[in-house]
Amino acid sequence: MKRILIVIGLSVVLSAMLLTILLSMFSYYRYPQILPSEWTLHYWMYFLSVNDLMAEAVLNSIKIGVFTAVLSTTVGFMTGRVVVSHFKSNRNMMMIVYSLPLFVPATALFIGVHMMMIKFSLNNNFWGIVISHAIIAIPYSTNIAVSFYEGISIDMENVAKTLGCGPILLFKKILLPLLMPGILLSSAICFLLSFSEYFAAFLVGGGKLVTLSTLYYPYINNGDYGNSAVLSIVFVVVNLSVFAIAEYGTRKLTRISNYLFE
Amino acid sequence: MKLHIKNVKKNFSSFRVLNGVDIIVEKGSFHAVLGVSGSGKSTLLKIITGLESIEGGQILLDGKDVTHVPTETRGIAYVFQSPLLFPHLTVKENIRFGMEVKKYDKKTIEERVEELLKLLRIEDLGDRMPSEISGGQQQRVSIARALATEPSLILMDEPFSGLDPALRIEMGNLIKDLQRLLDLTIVFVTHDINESLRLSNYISLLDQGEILQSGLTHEVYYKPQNRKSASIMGDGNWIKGIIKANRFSSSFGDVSAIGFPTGEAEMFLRPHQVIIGESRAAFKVKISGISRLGKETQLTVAYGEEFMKIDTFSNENYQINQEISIMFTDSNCHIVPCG
Ligand SMILES: Nc1ncnc2c1ncn2[C@@H]1O[C@H](COP(=O)(O)OP(=O)(O)OP(=O)(O)O)[C@@H](O)[C@H]1O
Ligand SMILES: [Mg+2]
Repeated sequence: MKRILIVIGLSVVLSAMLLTILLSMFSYYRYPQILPSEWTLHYWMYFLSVNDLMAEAVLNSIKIGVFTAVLSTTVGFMTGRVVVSHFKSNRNMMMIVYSLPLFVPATALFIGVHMMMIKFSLNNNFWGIVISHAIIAIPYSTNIAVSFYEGISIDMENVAKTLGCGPILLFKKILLPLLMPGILLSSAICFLLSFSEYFAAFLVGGGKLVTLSTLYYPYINNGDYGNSAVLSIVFVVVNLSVFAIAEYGTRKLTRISNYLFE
Repeated sequence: MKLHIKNVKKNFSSFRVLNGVDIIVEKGSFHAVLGVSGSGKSTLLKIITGLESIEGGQILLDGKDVTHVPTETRGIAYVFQSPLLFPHLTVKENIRFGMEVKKYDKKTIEERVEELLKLLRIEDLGDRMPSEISGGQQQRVSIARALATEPSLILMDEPFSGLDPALRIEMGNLIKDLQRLLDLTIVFVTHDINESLRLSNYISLLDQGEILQSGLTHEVYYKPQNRKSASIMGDGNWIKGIIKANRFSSSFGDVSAIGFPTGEAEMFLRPHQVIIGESRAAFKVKISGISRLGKETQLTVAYGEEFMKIDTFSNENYQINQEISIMFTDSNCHIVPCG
């Protein structure tokens, strides 16, 4: 039973991938056809060569993603520490508080955020987008941080203290290595959230700052399947690479492996 | 190192956990702190290392007030109930952790790690991760880790309570041997009476945040100051009587009581100090209860209105209502004046 489900799941995912790859390489392909008529590298060439805008968008998206990941993970792990060490009985309430941005519809949230950005002159600005993305990413990073901090017993830290560790050494030698899988996981997830986020990027970026997803949207909207497929593949490749890097980093830096897919 | 815990008071919010605790731990002693669950034993150890703050009192190490010295510079080792090995480090790396923090030179570290692995009989496990060794082995590693920097004082919080009984005794002996060999000063917290009797040479009884009695273990065990400290260390018999002219007399005759004031008093005997057997000084009592605990048998006997407990290793097949003769030696009798 389990095996059948896995096979079905895999074939759905793989056929979607295949379809996307086909769409990106052939000039004309519509559903009932088994194989498309003629193949072309037109869309890929378009993506790779001429297009300055495309390169800029990819670069912007990656830069925004990286800064969002660093900012949200830092804030999330600092918040998580406070939540775990200072809120024992009312931890659930705290979790609701810092998850509030997720309960509000993204549209409502980002229109509000956009207004704030205008107020602080952060609209049409790189950092404005990073901050907007961090607002939705921080609840995730905080949740990850909380569960990783919960895994470290306070007495483990106490042992380190009795062995001579002050706060800095304690962080460097015990907390950081034990949290590293969580930090990488959180960074990966925050990056992905930012990388594929459209609405805030569109609104706060104000069209002045293009990202991959703000380019992607019009292509799909206009039924430009070839170019959309190329961008989809770029998305998937970047996203998978980010997870692979996180997983590899975890293996490399710590000896506690396989946290992601276990 | 001599440790002086001086009138220590500790609250958790409005709840008073320690209410003026005084203990002196002599250098080179194995000092047990015995108390029931929730009596504040772990809290006391955390206070000694500085992991918990206090509302009053002082912690003195060799006469020096360290009450406000942070944990990391107090240099007091702490072995917790669970091993708490650092999961991202190998056994060897765990052991060397403290020495690296304190910047020992490489050669000393290597030598000491090897020495400790041998001392705690875990030579073959050095390169394993903590998840790859058994609970008993983990606890040994945690002891090695605590000993590595040659701390002048070691605190142990029921370090063997997660182990099976046989291993528990073996580990106890190992620690006792190490303590003698390396002349360690150990404060050992437990709620296991037998463990505290087996290992310690000094003991303090902690009850509801106060020290009931402190002293040499056998003294506290055989000469409790009152019923409460007697009962914390196990069963006992209190025999009522009267002191007159340096003699204590009860329904079991007279024993000498030189230096005690005249008046009502009680005599204390542990159940195994009562001897079953015939002699001119023996008294007849009737068995009213029997419970067999493997090689040991506990008898309850009636004399007059009162009852007495007796532990015996005899394999005789005692029966209820059987009459037996009992006696005890004068030197065993501990007399406590009433009031
Ligand atoms: N951080 C804390 N906050 C509030 N109360 C606490 C805290 N730690 C301990 N207590 C309370 O203080 C009392 C003493 O706790 P402690 O852990 O010192 O007992 P213990 O003698 O070590 O018990 P055990 O033998 O079960 O380990 C208990 O009533 C406990 O509930
Ligand atoms: Mg305890």
